[in-house]
Amino acid sequence: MKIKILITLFIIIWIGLIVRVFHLAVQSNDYYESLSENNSIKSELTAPVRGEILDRNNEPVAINELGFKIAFAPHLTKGKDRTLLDKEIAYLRTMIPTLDADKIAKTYIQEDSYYNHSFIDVVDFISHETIIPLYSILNLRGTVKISPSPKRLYPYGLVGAHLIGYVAKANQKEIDADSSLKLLGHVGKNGIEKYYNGYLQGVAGERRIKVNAHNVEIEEIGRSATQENHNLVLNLDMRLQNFITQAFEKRVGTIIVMDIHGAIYAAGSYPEYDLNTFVSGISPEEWNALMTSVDSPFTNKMINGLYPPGSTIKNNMGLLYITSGVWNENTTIMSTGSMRLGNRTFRDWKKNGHGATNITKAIVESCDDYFYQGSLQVGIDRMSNGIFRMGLGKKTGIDLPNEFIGTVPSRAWKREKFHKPWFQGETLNTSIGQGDLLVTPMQIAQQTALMATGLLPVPHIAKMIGNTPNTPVPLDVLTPQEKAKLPIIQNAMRGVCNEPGGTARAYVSTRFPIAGKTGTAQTTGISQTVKNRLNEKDMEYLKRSHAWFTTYGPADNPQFIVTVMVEHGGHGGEATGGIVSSIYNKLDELGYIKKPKPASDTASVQVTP
Amino acid sequence: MLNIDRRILAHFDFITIILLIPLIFTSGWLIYEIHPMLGQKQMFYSFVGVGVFIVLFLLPIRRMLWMIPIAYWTSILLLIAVEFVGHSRLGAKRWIEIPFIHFTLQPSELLKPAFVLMLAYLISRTPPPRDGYRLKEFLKLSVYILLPFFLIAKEPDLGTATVLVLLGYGILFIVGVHWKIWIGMITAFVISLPLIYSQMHDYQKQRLHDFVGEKPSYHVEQSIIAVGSGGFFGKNKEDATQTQMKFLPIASSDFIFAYVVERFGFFGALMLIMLYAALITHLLLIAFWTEDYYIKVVAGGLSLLFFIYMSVNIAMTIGFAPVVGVPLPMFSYGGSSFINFVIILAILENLLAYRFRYLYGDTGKKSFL
Repeated sequence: MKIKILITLFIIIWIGLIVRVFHLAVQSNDYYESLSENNSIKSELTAPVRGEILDRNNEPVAINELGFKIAFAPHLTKGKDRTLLDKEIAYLRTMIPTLDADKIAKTYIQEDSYYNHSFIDVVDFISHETIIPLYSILNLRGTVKISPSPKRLYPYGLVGAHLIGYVAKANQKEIDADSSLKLLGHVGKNGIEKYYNGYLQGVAGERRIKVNAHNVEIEEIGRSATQENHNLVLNLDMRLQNFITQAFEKRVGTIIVMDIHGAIYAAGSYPEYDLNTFVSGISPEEWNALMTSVDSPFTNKMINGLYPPGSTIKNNMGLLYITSGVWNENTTIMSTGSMRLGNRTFRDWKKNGHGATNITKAIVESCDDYFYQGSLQVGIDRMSNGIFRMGLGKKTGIDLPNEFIGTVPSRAWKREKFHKPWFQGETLNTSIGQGDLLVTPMQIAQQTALMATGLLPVPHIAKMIGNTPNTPVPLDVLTPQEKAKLPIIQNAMRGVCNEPGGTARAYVSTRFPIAGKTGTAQTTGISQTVKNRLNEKDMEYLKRSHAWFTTYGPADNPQFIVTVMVEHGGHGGEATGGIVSSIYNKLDELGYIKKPKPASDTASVQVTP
Repeated sequence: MLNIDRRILAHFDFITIILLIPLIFTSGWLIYEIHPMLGQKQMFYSFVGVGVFIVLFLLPIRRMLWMIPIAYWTSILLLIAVEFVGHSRLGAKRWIEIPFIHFTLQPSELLKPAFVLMLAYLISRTPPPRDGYRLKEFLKLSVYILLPFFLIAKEPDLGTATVLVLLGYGILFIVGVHWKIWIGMITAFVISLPLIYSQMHDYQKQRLHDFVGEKPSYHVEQSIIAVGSGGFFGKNKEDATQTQMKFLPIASSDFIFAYVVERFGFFGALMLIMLYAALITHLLLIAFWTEDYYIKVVAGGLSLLFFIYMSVNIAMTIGFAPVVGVPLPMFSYGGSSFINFVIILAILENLLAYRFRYLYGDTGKKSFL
């Protein structure tokens, strides 16, 4: 009896063991086989060198400065005991006295642990000149490892900062999304550096090795080479970029210079900031100064600044009016200087009005009355649908991260956002580019190209991505009727800069005729948080209107778009005419303006009044 | 010349030895594959084991039974000495270092043969009645079982202590205890479980949690991977990466079963378990077949030791039991456990081989030497 109990118990247990082994070894064999393989195969990554960024003349815009990093062997501290570490730091400081001992110790202690078996980087960057005489001495000392560590360098400092962007230490979120950043450390944080980060960064090379449990290599199984994509060539001309930074002086705002196909030759958001301060980490003081400045230097005003377009919208509105079927190019109204709607008076900028006004005069003199009256005829639906179709309220598609789309107000938009019906007064405001209509300067530059060519180009900064030219296809957004009547608008825009009465004529001094449109945009509300920070004088400045001037040239053979917006610059043409003229003249000087045919006499080009 | 009594050969238990030979050879081979140096050492232990076996077998043990209480109490004294002069390793005081020769010994290992013999000594002096021991005898025997249990559990070495308790009461079960006492025992044990848990050390709780929790510890995880990658017939030495690349920790001792499966697959594991089963069953049959209480206790004890060790060891390598540091008997690398089994085996063979003198009232030659 007792023996039966014991033997039965034993057999039950043995069968349990055998069934479990069978389940593991035979039934789950594939699964455990793969786990066993994962155990012994590790991959080691080799970092690619980040591609350099060049301008259209192969001038370096972002390059890699050769330098070195210093790492210490693990386990130099044992609990609280750090004598070994202090000895190493002291030794290192006899070689390079400028190093910060506390910082090194802090970095090291943070990383050193019982579980870490790899070298710990304690100094991220040491220049080539400093390390070369010490290289072999230090590397022979088993506890120190010197390895090459390129550092990003922006030779132009702050020029074109918002376009180029910068690289900085990757944060945890970025590392989670792209594991190769653990190896590379730095990632594009802004501008072109961010937008083309994947290309510039390249693909890490991989060595697959078999290791034992102590991570000691047994044999190499395979390897893939690093893919370094090398260079990115931009459409920018850094000579022009430098020139516009100087031309803009201390003003706040933005300049965009692009060809009619959207290739950006120079563009700036002002004030700019020095990119190099970000690479090795910016100090909290510098950061705070940049963050709290009234001029918001961090905002890329080209694509993230939202402004009312002011009168620059009149080109689009005019084209919509004369193709609406309600009005046409022959419609003439009487401008008296003001217009009543209900109990509100809508004023023209010219106190006594412009008299009899047709579409051409309305654009040349920027007559508000014409657009007020027309808007009531054409209606907000046709207006907002029209400008949306032409590309407002959408991304321009420029190769920069986080572009804003602005606002195109409409009945549906207002109902959704404010749960309120649309008022006719708002139609009037929208017709002259005020009220809720908000655009980015890049959109205005794009719209100007549309007026110049009839096609909506996609602005783009990169010229060549490797060996592939970057030529985005322009969008065909105009109706046949609009295209047919476009010359009327072009003629009026030419008048703005050239005809008596033209709003910009007095301020334009280019070597060839240009066409364009001025705008004076009233500032929208200033937020309470900003108000609290400011003194009286700054408030007065902030209440001043924004000055717009968007142009194409030469007027009879459009090749370039120049759009300038000066925040709180006052009247459009006055504040910006000089800058715009000097840019066209510089473009000519640099040989970018193609003359229709070589003139028979080589006399110098006359400045057209 | 030796003049060996033919009755000695007739009563010698060859089956046990025949079952052990493949076990010892496979063990030596596998340990050598994992680590040649350890393999050589294990071979040395085997020779020492053979020597110990011969010496013990030739001793007139039946005439030396008076020494059993001395051996038992000496072991108990050594266990107490561990408390005061013991050597700590990994937070447990289990070792005593013998001066001058730098040899450490583990009194809890030394105790096992003395423990089994002490029970045999006590039981044969007052054999149980037909329906088993009553409470008074049972409690008296329990003192001898629980005293070393508490001393070893305090070291702490809960694994060995538990083995001792299972072994002691297992022997009592084979010998015979009244069934009412068993019911009482089981009830008392279940009730006191929470108290035992609260008295455990943190590392023991951690092991228990590792076992109960979803995710096994690194050791067990690697061991399960090794077992799982074995397949039906296992792999070549070179392809057994879990062991050869040292992912499997303590591969030659506690986790050698995992290497057996990685190397020889499910088939190898089945063979090994069947070998043990045959050995255990054979020893158990000897225990139940004999009327001699010394043979009964030693054979039953050895059978139980084999069973407890092999099943706990295998269970822990496949994630069925917490890791308690119990070796695979006569298979894992290590000297003391191996020699212990040899000692008990030699005593059993001695008791078996010379039993005729006592069973048949032999008055022949006093010595065969």
